[in-house]
Amino acid sequence: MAIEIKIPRLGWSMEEGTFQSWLKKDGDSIKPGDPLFTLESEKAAQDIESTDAGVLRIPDDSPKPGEVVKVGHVIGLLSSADEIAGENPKAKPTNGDGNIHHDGTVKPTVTPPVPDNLVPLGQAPELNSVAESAAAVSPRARRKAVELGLDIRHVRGTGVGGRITEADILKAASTTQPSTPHNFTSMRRAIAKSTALSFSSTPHFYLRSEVNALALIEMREDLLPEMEKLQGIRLTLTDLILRAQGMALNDFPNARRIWAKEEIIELPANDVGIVVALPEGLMIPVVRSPEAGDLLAVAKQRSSLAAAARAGGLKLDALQGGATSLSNLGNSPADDFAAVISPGQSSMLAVGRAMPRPFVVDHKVCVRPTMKLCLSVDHRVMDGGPAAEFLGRIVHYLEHPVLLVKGR
Amino acid sequence: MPAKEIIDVETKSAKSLAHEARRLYRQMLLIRYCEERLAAAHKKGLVHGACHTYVGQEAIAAGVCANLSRTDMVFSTHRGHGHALAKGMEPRQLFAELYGRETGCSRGRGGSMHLFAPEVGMMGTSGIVGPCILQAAGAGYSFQLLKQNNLAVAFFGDGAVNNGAFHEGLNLAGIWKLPVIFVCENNNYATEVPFDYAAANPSVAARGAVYGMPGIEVDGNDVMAVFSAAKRAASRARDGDGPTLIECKTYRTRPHSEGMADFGYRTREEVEEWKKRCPIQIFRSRILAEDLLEESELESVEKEISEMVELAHQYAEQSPFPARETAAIHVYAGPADPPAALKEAIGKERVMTYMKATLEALTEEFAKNERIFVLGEGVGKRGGNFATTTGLFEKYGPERVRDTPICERGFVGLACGAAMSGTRPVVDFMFADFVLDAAGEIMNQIAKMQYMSSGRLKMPILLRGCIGIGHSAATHHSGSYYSTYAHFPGLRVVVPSTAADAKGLFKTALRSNDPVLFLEHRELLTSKGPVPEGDYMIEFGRAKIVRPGEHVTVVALAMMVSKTLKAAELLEREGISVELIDPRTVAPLDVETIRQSVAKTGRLLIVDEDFQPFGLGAEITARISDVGFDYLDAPIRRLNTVHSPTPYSPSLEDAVVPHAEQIVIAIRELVKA
Repeated sequence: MAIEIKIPRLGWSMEEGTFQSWLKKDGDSIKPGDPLFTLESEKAAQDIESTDAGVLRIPDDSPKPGEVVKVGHVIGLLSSADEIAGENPKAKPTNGDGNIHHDGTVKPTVTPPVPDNLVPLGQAPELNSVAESAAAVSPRARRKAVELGLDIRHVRGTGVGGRITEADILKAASTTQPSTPHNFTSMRRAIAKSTALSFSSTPHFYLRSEVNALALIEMREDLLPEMEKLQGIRLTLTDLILRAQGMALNDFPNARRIWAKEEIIELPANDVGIVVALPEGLMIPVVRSPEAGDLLAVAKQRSSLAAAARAGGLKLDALQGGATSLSNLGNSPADDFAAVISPGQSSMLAVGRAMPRPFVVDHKVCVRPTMKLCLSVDHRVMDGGPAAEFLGRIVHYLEHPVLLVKGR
Repeated sequence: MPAKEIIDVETKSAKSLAHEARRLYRQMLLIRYCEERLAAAHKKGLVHGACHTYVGQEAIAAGVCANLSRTDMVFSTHRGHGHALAKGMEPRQLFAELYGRETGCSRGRGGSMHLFAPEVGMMGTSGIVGPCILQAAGAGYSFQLLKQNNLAVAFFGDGAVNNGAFHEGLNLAGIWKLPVIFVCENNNYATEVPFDYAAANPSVAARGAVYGMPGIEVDGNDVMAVFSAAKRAASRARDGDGPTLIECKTYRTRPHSEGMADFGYRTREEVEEWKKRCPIQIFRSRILAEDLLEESELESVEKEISEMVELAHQYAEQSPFPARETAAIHVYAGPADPPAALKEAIGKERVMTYMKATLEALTEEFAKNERIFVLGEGVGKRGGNFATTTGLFEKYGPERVRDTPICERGFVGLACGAAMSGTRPVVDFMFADFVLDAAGEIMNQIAKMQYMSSGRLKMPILLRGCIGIGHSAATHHSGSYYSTYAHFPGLRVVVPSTAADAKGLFKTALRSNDPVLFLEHRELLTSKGPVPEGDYMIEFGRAKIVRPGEHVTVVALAMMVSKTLKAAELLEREGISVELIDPRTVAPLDVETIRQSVAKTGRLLIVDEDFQPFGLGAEITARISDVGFDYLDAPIRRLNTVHSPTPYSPSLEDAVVPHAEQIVIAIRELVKA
């Protein structure tokens, strides 16, 4: 019997995803573990691997790239070799055709045997096959089209021989989006959904504090050249704030609690999410235990997560975990802002730019570089008192940065 | 002369006479029994490849090696089992090697023709006829330079004496009075070609005079004759009087290689006649006739050796085969990774020429390391054709700055032997084109030596020469060759484009334990640039981003770097932003830096003065399509020198090599593609 290929649930809250593309063609012989198609959830795009063996059958009503699909929806079939032989006796493997594989599956070498209810290969309007038959899409353009959820068949190529290049995709994306509102990117769709969900279902409250960042900035400037020279990693203020947040979580386990399906659970680790801005939106990969190890380890993690996010290479598990996140707009003109808590977490720390500002030191007004912090908190999980204590720990570490070097 | 008189030069005691006779007999017998056991093992399929036995020639290895100490060095040929055993290799290591086992003397990497035991001075056997002669001369050079009272021996057959290595090696050893004994085992056949057919002058010994050394002919089946001749040659070498050529007349009574037909080129009768002149039987009769040992003592030696050989066979048969995952270990001595402290140049910068920058590196390293020496034509008083050694001869003298005759194969092979024996040769070729005469020494010997010796020999050798087209140098002074060398495992290939890079990379090369081809573009030698003072090293396999850009990545090397820079400046005005990467070393090649750049730009052009087919551009293209396919927005392009020999006439020369204008056009097309 043919095995159904269904849209899987990626993470507990997923109800639907965006189908991106098939990674195999109709008639391909599939082994368990072979990547079958790419599916985008609210967290990240992921290659879905086959759990079974067989010959892939893609029906003509299979989802188009960019189409939103429900979890459990059947998008294709895996047929066994026997079934194919039964359906089409002409396609019976013969000696010398080389189409019997070690695993017993059959790969059509000349004419793919096609069951009556499926459209033969070549007529299926599927991204990969279209691109391959035209042979005039650059790999980079193909990748960009998938990233933007753009149907490449509507793009006109301007490269040599009409090849579609990245520039053509970007141009098409910028002109088609306003006129076809349905076509905005799947990342934008995910952000729209998750922020709306969080802001409407999570009772937010906000605690603010202004930090004297003189010692913090001086220490970073001291450490920066050394670390950059030895390890080639630029230590950022973000790394130091992540460290402070991780250490505060460690001191104050209440802040590791989250609201999960009508109950409160406490996460075991002091992981902290970091908001990474991208041209099309944002991602929140999670830095693991920033309170532990040396500062370099935090900087390395942060830098590789940010790079992966920008390259579109974040894996699903890099987006999972953590009760709190950091949104640092230190490089922007924003002095002070409040953030929406990421779904599944209980707080978000928003940090504006560090600027020389009047600040009272020893009863005198002095000019000091300061940072304005705003902690958004989920009231279902934490009340004002404990939340202030958590914020207090963060402020303490940022104003006594020597503690950050040592870590937990 | 009676055996006891020959042995008796140093001692008169009867006990010691008996001891020496027993030692020689035992040695010959060990070789014979091992060979017979190995021949049987070959029949059974235990020996997987070729097996060239030494049966009939045992007196030569035994007689010569009895005069050597552990720190003297032996270099041998494809018929080398006997030499290895006589120099002190354990029989079980020999067996295990032929059986392809992990416990073999070369850890299963060599087999019958690549036997290494440097720890006892067995420096290796070679499947190629001739190189051992040059390598022994090189070891002699090391001994002379390091003032060690050792000597080197080359064993080779009559086939080698009609080969250039013989003539070049003997001449070099002759002019520099190197402590070497050249032992020709004339067994009448080079494989199956009779020597009296192959040699216009069939006396090998007579050739010694041609190269200013004694040439002695001895009966190679008489161990005492060989012992005696080798003794005189060894004293002569140790006394600083130079090399000796010994021709040992002998015969192998088994086929060239086990399993080969033996009577298409010689008769059964001839073989039987020689079997009667068995060196072991001759010596045994002599021992008994001269009352040196009792028959029972000889029998006990025979029994002992017989048991030892059986144990060696069993040991080898029971040893494991080397693990598959170790197959590519020992190709290189290790990453040429400079210490962190030296990675950054901190010295004050001065503007100087590329040529002066490498001279500065060489001069600084010369002062620090007395094992470094330079070989080349005109490097001595003249200071190098391209002023590569100016000032060094005056300061360090001829042993460290050595003018050579015009014999590239000879001095490269000698440098190979020198590196094997503990010194650090710098070979200065002037033009890289000349090196092709020595290609076999580089590709078959220098590149493979660390691997064949399973990492026990290091090959710290720097081979430098000019590459590149310009000034109507024509086709024997214009080649680039870096792709050719990079094709071979075991070599590092460095091609700097600036003075500062040249100095830093030269220093890394002079401290690397791997052989380095250091190729300098002749048109860059007088180019000037800032060069830091003092010590700094540039890691091999670390490309430089010469110029950051957005729209297209260009990889260029040597002279093509400045040409591409010029092109990039022109294109900047058109709004095309070029990122230029100079790999600096071709092997190892920094693919990651190129990949990162292509990830940004989506377009890649390789500008390469070497030939296009199978070249640097092809390699980079394949590697980027492996790791960066999804970043590509257009096909990868290459711009190369025309695939033809380099012409002389300026108009033709100009037509074959890429110029900035062509680079501009190629980039424009690529950006539109």
